[in-house]
Amino acid sequence: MLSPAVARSIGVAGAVVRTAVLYWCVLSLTFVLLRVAPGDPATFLLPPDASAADAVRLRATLGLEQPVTAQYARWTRRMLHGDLGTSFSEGRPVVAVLRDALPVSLALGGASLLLSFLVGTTVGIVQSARRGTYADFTLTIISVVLAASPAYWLGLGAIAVFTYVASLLSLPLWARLPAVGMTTPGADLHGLAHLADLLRHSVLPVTLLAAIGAAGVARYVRTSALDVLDADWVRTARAKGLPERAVLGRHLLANMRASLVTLFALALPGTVAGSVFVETIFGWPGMGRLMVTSIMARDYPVVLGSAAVFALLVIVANLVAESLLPWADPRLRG
Amino acid sequence: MRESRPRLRAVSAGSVALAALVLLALAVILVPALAASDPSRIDDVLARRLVPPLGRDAHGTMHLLGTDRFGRDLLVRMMLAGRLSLLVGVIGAGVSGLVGTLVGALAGWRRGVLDRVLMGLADLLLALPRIVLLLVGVALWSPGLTTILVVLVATGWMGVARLVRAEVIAVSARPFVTAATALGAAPRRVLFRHVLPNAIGPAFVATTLGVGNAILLESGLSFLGLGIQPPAPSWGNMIAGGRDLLVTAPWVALAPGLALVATVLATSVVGDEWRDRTRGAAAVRGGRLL
Repeated sequence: MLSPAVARSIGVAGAVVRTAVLYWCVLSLTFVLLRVAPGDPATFLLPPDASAADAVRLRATLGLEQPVTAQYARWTRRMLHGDLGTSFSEGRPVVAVLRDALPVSLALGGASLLLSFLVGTTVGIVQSARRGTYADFTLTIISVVLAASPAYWLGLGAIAVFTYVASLLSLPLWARLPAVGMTTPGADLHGLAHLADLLRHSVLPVTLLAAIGAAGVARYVRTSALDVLDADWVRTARAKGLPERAVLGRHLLANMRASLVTLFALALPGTVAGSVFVETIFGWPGMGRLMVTSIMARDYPVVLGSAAVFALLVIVANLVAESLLPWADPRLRG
Repeated sequence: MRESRPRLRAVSAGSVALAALVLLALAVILVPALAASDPSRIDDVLARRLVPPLGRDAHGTMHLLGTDRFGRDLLVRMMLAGRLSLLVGVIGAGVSGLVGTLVGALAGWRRGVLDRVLMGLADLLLALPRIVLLLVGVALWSPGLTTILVVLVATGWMGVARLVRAEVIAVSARPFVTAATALGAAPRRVLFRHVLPNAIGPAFVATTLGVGNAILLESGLSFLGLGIQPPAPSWGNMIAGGRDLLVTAPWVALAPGLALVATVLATSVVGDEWRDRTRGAAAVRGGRLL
């Protein structure tokens, strides 16, 4: 018999291997997609102003005359060396382009994800504790409406209110928020001033993304909290005279850890989707905006490269959530 | 039952939402058909453009929701866009649901290698955020209605497939399935007449909830300029058209946005209520809950 610790390490190692295989398949999917798309991959991969001679040369470089298996082997070799090709519009390696955009998205998405979990969990638990009251009803309506609203539309509304309307009503300066960009263009700020400028620019996009995320988290938390609160041992805890705060703070939260870990992995794709629109609306140079602009520019290496990064984020989040589950819920320790 | 106190409301939110959707469907069919003017024709822009809601243009024509920058009536265009959105939502989610049901039934019924391959494919597609798959799809094919529908279906069947697979496996283990097989029914007949009808409930609910999602995704792509191309109206590209008029003519972006939110909201309320009503039944027979 293996000791539980060893068994768990083997389980985690297995999950890592499975994840790596899955990720390889996702990357291969991008290889397949370029080939099932109508037309010659060479025409896709060439800038619009390329000549016929360029096409012939590219076809030779890509080895498009070779059999598909040889092409796949060649593509694999390049991927393993971290070579994602060269961006058409910028002329730089795709990896370098992605390296510039990724931190922006990680900061925006990370801050929003954190906020949406803090707010959403609190709201969901308050709702479940006050089930059936007007507060519960109102918060449910707010979260359902937020979940049904497109991020870009809310973003436009927020821009209209916090820039134009705020200056129209000559509101104090703190209420007038910058609508576009991460920093004030041209302002050569350093240290704290730079940080303050960045924070001011973050308020609208982060709040928007967090609010939409929090709506989803709150709905999910409310449902799973109600499931827990209906359990027999909660009745026992209350019957033995435990104060409600202890019931919610200790018994409920301890039993919701697993749900929250699962929710984290589920929430990440939503944050990615939201950031595509939020970055576009607010002009943040992150992965989402990069993807949209590279599609507009028909910059296929960048499109496929960003898709690969997004997939990596989601897959790693799933792996982390899966490895955390036994910690979160002892009942899942085999 | 989950509710600690009885519901006092005589009319459920779900039936209100369903009524709203029916009303919307009627409106998107009737309003453009009965409209006096062609909603995509542009004439006498100066006299008609940016009339506020309930206002009259220089020709004395009343515009209930106002006009856009080219003087086109917003209500008529919104309803025309609604045709497209509802169509994309219902067909996109419906065909996804159908494909997902067939894949899930096949995987759960046949098990073995086929099951592993199909579910592996589902995991593969679920590893990419759906919006990313959609963006890659419209990047490689040309943007338009067909591309959107194909990509929505290609990226939307996995959830339903997993649900149906789990249900089919659960239902297959029940005595009446053994009985049907023992009585000599062909496997195909057992699957389609005995197993699937008992396993399909969650798929219907998930498909209903998918309609709103499909509508949101279509409008998002159209907003980015990667979906329905102007002059054909879509709620997404109408909002994009009002983007730089937020101050001077906020109604141009506001009206289609409200229509979008109301429609998505209504479909999700209908789906939620359907799920809540079937949840009790599913729990009783020990099936997997949504």
